[in-house]
Amino acid sequence: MRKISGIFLALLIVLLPLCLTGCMNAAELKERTIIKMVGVDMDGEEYLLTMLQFSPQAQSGEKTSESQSLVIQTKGRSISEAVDQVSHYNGNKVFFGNSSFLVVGEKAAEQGLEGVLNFFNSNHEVSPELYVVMAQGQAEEVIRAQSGEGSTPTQLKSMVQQGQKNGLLGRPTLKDVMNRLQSDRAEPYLPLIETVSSENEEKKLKISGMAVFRDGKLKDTLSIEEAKGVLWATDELARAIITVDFGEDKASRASVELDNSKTKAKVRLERGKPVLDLSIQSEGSVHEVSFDRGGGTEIGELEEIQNEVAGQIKETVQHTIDKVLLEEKCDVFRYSEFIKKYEPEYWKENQQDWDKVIDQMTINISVDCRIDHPGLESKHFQVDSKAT
Amino acid sequence: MLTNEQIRVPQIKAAQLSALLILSRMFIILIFLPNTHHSVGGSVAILSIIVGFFLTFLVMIPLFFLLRQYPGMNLQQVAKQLSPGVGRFSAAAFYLVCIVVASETVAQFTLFLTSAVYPQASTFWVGIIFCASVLYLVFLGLEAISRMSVILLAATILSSLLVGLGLWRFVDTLNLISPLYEGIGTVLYSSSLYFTQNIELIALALLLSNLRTPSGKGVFLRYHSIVSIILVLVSFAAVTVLGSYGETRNFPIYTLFILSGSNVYYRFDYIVVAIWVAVSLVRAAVYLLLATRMLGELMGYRWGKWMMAVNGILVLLISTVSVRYIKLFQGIYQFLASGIPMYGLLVLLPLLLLFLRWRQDKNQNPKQLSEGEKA
Repeated sequence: MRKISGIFLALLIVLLPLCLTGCMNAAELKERTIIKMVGVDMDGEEYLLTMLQFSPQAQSGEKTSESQSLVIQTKGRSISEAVDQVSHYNGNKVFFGNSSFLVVGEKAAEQGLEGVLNFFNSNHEVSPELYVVMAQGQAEEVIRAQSGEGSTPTQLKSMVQQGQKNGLLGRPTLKDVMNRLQSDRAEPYLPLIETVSSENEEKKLKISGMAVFRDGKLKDTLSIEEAKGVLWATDELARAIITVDFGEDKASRASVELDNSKTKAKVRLERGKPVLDLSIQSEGSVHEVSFDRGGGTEIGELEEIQNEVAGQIKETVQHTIDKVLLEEKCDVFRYSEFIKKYEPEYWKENQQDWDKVIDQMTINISVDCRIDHPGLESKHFQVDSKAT
Repeated sequence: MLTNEQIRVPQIKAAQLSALLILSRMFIILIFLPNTHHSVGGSVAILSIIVGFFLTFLVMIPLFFLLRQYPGMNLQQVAKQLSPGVGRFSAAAFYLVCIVVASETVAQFTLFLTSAVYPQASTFWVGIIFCASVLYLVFLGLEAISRMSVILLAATILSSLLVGLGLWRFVDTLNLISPLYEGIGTVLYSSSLYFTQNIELIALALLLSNLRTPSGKGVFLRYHSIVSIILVLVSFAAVTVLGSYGETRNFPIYTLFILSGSNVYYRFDYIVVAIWVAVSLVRAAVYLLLATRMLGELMGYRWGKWMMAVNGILVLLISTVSVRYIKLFQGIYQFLASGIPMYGLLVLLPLLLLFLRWRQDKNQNPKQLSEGEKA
């Protein structure tokens, strides 16, 4: 018995240290193809994948960490098949854990987002925080623009981060887009990116608006101003600059920075039809005021500027809702979820006739704008004007 | 050869037992699989936990009424005292359930590790290494596992708080809808599942005899309240943070941990996986230890430590096969979630024992009873 328990103990001693070996199937950095960005396009019936590969150049002992980005392009009937073909280049394993952007081409978006996103949603390395954008045209162009000389994969990231701060983009991560795709009627939206050529023929990226979807397929694209309307209506706008004309004959012009906006939506039934009350509250300060003979502003003029700003916000939001929800029937605002939450019985009865619900829906928009900082510049006139 | 357990009866504190059970229950929370748990998601789950909390109290009344009359004994010991036949039958039933739970834990561990963390790892080797570690824990005994549980629970709560803070920015209350949206029937069904999946109550019924002071009710209250609060918080986080996205994930709670990664930790899931590995070890060890005890009851403790090894090999076999044949894995789940173990061992068995006790009392004092009935 003692001998057998000795064998048992020896087995334990041999097996237990195996738990301390760390990562299983560990792959060295050089055995990995680290993907920083992925672009998905359609080439006929096949997916065309354009990937930006991170390729560290610094050798052991070197202080610099200069990196070179390589572009890999593969094709396949599914995204998995196309990814698998990457190993034909160098035999390395593809690693998506460092990917921060997924660019969907216009044709791929027209075919449907779900087919594109399924692979990334089920891949254990991909973060739910993967940022999803749509390219105006081919995703390949965006990826190639990022791989150009002088470009780094962080440029798109910085652009998007600034875009979010400036109220040009929302937050459509993989998690958010999948959430909307799974929802009863809510639809996703994606920031729209285009490539533009600079004077020296260098390709640069530019935020050009927003793409809205219906049933997971691309329905329409919106301008930057309309995109702001969507973000205002969905309480996702962090900051915005608004320029309004005011004063006698609207001869003066003020630019206001809104840095604290809050949008609340409430749903109620009125005579059996849904009414959505949208209340937007904005706070900000005057950045710049000019009129034909001078600049600066006085406290007394703030109320007039406030009213003009509120009017412009209301107009922008109203126009966007009219276009996206009422005309296109795309619920990128998630108002269907508000109805489901606050009027569940009505939603159960009418969710199948969503288009009819939209037609019956009344939307009331109220905007309350508060500008309590006239800025550093006091009212002043030009010298020659004073002389006359 | 005797095990540490057989040399003397291990004695643990009520707080240690509570920590052990809470930790064991948290294993399921961390790797919650929506497809196999027959559970309802969303806001319904939050109300169901609250209703299930009170339902469990009601269902546990016969058990605690019985155990109050046998302080310092566990349910199987009470059954053995009232009827040796029922005692043997209950030991066999408890053995079966404990082996199944231990196997399910190993299978869950292997499945999760080889799908979410290391997809290329061999399920067989992961299972073997895990089972060897579990056997070592069982060899150390209940006291060592309990002491370890208290430390692990503190680490789990601390990391959960950090996770909660990291998730705050993702909370969207629009995802919370009326819990009665799908009707009261769904809430009641889900509440009954809350009881049937609370398999740690079986471990509680068997570990009461190891308490230094007979405070079973206190352990139950502490365990049940804390677990319910944790579950409500986790469900709230899952609903408000993930929304419908959670429906597309096989391990939604694990996704929460990934999301909670701040700039400091980048991906918080690594810390969570480390804690969860320890939690799974504790859970598998507790049920393997209880299975060994029950087998000892059936076989008369003849095989000493070999019973532990035999059970370990059995658990490894069942878990390895169930990971390969997912239908068997689902079958194990269905058996545990069906309510047969919980209602059978924690409701019907105590009722039967109460009946036996009443009959014994009646036979011993027939005169007193008949006078009492007349009065």
